[in-house]
Amino acid sequence: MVRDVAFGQYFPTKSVIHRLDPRAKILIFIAYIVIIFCTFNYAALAVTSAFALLFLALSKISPKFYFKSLKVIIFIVIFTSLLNLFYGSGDPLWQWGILSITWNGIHRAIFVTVRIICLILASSCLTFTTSPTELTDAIERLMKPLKVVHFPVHEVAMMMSLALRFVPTLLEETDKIMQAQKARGADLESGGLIKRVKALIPILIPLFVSAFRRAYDVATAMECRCYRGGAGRTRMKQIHMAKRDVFSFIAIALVIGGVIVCNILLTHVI
Amino acid sequence: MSFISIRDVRFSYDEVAEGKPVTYAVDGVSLDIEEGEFVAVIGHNGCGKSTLAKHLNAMLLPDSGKVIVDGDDTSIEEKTFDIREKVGLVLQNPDNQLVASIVEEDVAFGPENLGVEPEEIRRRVDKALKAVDMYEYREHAPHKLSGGQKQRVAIAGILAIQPQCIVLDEPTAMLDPSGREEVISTLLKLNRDNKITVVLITHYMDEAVLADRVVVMDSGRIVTQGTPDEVFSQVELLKRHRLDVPQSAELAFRLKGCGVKIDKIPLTQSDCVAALEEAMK
Repeated sequence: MVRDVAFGQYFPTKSVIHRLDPRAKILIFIAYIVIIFCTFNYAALAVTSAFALLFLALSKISPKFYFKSLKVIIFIVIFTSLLNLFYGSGDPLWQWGILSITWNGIHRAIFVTVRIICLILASSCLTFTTSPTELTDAIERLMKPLKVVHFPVHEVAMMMSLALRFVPTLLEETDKIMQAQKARGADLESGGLIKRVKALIPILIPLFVSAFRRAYDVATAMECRCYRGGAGRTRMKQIHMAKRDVFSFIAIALVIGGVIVCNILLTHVI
Repeated sequence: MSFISIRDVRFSYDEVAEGKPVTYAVDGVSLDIEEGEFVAVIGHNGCGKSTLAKHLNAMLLPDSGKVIVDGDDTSIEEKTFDIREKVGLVLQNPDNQLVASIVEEDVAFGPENLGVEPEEIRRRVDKALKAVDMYEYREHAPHKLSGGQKQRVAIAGILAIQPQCIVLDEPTAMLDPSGREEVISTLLKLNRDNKITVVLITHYMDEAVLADRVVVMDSGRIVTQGTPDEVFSQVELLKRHRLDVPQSAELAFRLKGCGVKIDKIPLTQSDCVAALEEAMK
């Protein structure tokens, strides 16, 4: 039940997107998030959406999984687009009490919907095509300059990769505890919000206890395998920038350029 | 001198304070482990066998006495990682030993920590995964494997460090019978083909029977040791220390008590059948 969350999974389909340098992917992702919120007319929005769709198509991962990750946020999308719909300025097209819909509101609603969808699709594409180890390795390398200010780069990266590794294990454990508590007569599905939150306590406490015990075991196992921090550590999988990474940078640069040109030449709708 | 020599080791988890009685988890153990040996350590829960295991790779240091691994005292801090490179420890819960989200990356964790060159790590990882028959699963996520497969990956993770000796602390306790079978046959193969010293801590007597030497522990002390034949023929002694004997030994022992003529206590099913056949003639 809790286990079939598509968001944050990795699918090793070995596409060209998989082979991109994870550092390049992260940088492109960050640039993409920024640019998607800098689109002010439909042409710019179309350019950014097209870029996301291109990456999705190249990733060779079944659209089914992308839909699954969208399903999780469908309520957020509806909620924010409704808010935006009634928030616009200008002449009202329709009015009921304080609620009014304007052209501006409609545009806003469309923009926010497309933006959120693109954002989720892009982040799904990143996590679907990059293994957690690659991801944390890339983050570790990208953050390396922070070592100058004594930021514990390696430790943070190691914590992230361990956290990602134990997400499925802890989800499985949550399932087991829930079933164990249900078998003891715990009622998790009825009552109001407060009652339900209270019903979670007998699940969270055993989960925390076991997580701490696990953490102790993991630390022992890591020490047994000669772990002694980041100094002198090597990596089996080396990451190199290749031609395809240069192409991907060119692609994102074109998108950024395209959005800027659209924003300058065409009238802003929001 | 033997590969690992344990000399009169005592260890307590309690804080040692004046006037307080101290209970020792390991209480004066001396044991030698030779290179290439397959030693099984048995004992009921809380007899100190896991504590002893953690002394072999300097995870715990003795309160008194000495543990010498390949000439190095485990209490010398600079030698800690040299010792852990020579003696690998596999723990009970396979889930908590796998630190990466992909099998091959997990196996690479040990050599990465040692600062081995990338190409050499790749070679070691492939070799270790082949040695435990998990090569086809190298790109799988560990949480999707069965218990026996996870434990074999954990063993591969230790093998990739290329230790001379592997210590396993109840590696089969959380596995189903088929998983147990997988792990034990892997260990026997490693011991036979790769000449790796194996110290297997277990409470399954049927596993201990397969070892070259069996060490029996109770209350932090070694009660008896010897070949499986020698140890398991002392059925009464084992029972006194709350241990089981292999089923066939138990059967033969009871029959012997009823007056059936059996000379040697059989340890395996086939030996038992042969012994009974002999007795019925």
